[in-house]
Amino acid sequence: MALAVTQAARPNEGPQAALRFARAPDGRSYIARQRVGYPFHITRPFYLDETPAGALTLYLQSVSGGIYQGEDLVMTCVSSAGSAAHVTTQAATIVHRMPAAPARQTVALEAADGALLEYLPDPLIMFPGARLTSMLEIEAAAGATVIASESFAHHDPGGEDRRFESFEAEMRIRDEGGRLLALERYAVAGDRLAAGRSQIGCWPAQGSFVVAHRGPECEAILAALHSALAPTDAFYGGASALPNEAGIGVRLLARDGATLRRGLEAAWRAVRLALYGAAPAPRRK
Amino acid sequence: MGPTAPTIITITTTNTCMTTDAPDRLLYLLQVANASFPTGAFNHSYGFETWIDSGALDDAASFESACRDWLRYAAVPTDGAAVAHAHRRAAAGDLDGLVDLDHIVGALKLSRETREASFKTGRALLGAYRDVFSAESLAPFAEAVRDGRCEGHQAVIFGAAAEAQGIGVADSVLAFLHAALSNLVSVGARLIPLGQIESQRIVREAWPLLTRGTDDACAMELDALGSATAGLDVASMRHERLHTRLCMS
Repeated sequence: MALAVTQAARPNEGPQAALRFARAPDGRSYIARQRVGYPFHITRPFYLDETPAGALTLYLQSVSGGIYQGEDLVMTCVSSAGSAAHVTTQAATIVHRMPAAPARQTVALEAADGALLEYLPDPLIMFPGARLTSMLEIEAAAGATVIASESFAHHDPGGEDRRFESFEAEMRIRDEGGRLLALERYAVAGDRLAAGRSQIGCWPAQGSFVVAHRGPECEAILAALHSALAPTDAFYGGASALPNEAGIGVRLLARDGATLRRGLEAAWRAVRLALYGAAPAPRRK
Repeated sequence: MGPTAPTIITITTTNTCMTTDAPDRLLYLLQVANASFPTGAFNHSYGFETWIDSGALDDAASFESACRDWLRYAAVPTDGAAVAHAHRRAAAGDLDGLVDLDHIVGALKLSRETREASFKTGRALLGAYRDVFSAESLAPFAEAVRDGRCEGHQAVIFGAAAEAQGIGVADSVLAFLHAALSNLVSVGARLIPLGQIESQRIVREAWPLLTRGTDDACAMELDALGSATAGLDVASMRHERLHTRLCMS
């Protein structure tokens, strides 16, 4: 269903990047199918984690240097039963000034029973005048786990603290039958993100992190996340059980992109420890 | 002295003002939107208790600013808009549409306590509406809640019930938003604490925001419902682990 929604957004074209992961008889996960075109590029798979066994890591790269006005970028990742894949980026993605037209990015993630699919890119860096709509569509079978994030920070390379124009985000989690379980939708204007001096202030770096997972482990995941997300002057985060037993949702706010990235990594480590009893190996970026 | 010219008085009303030519409708709204109507709304801070506990909100000015942000970026584009959609679906006799709307409203509430606050106050409203007004108009929807086909969120029930009582869409939304703000302010008054005059001034000062928010909520398409209060989302999530809690959310 998630893929159908994505394709409906681009009726005459397929996604620029389409990946399918599967599990080999020896337990290793591999790229069973790939179609990757401009502006995306992928590395070869790396095997960095001992747990879960055979999990592959893939770096998604952009050869264009960011997201530009008018672009409509679509990526799909499908994890077959029993496979384990971690997809990330090597650096933050710059979202450039868009005087003529906004841009749109859609990522659809689909995981079958027993699969682990992680999509954890670095934060988007919103330049002055950037306008982006980000769609994240997740379809997880009852026995699957999908861990995903969507985050942004504002940055003015001119050092004048000019803000991006708008960031609109939508995240949907559906079950394998396509039934909507959780829906996050918000729009932020850059002007609203004045540096806050308290917990109620506006934060220039924000992110969402979700664990689409159904099962008794959710209580342990939630407890681990609460411990990992202790507030500081530069970071404010929280976790809660999602609607319709869709899993766990996390919101993270930070003073800057680097602090936000550390918060996202802390959340990811906490979830891996709760689910598999082992922290993930550090990713080189 | 000749006859005096007749005086012409022009009365102008906006679409959000109810005149007293329908006293039963006005009385209904005054009663159901009153803080004493038994929905339990006064027990919910929607995360504000976390901020007050941390000292981030400690006076009338900081609390008022946060309330206005909550109204503009959370209450209006989610529950306020849901009241309008529920009203229209109820007017069309669209029970399935109400059930679908209720599901969307629940899916949008990502924090457990905020979600539970929404359907607990909704179910209380559903029962009180039936018993106080001897009204069976929402019986099919109540059956859907009992059967587990939907959760019964407050905004959906408020809109559907108001429609059944002959209240217009805009008046329903305005009354809902006013009641929601008043309840939140009463929570702040207890927890910070604030004086009664200070509290009522916060509500009065929000009148223009309430009327603009009503217009916005009535115009909002279903696929635009959402909120942009990330800090409050976090506060609501952290409320689950707050050591001392006077509110349920």
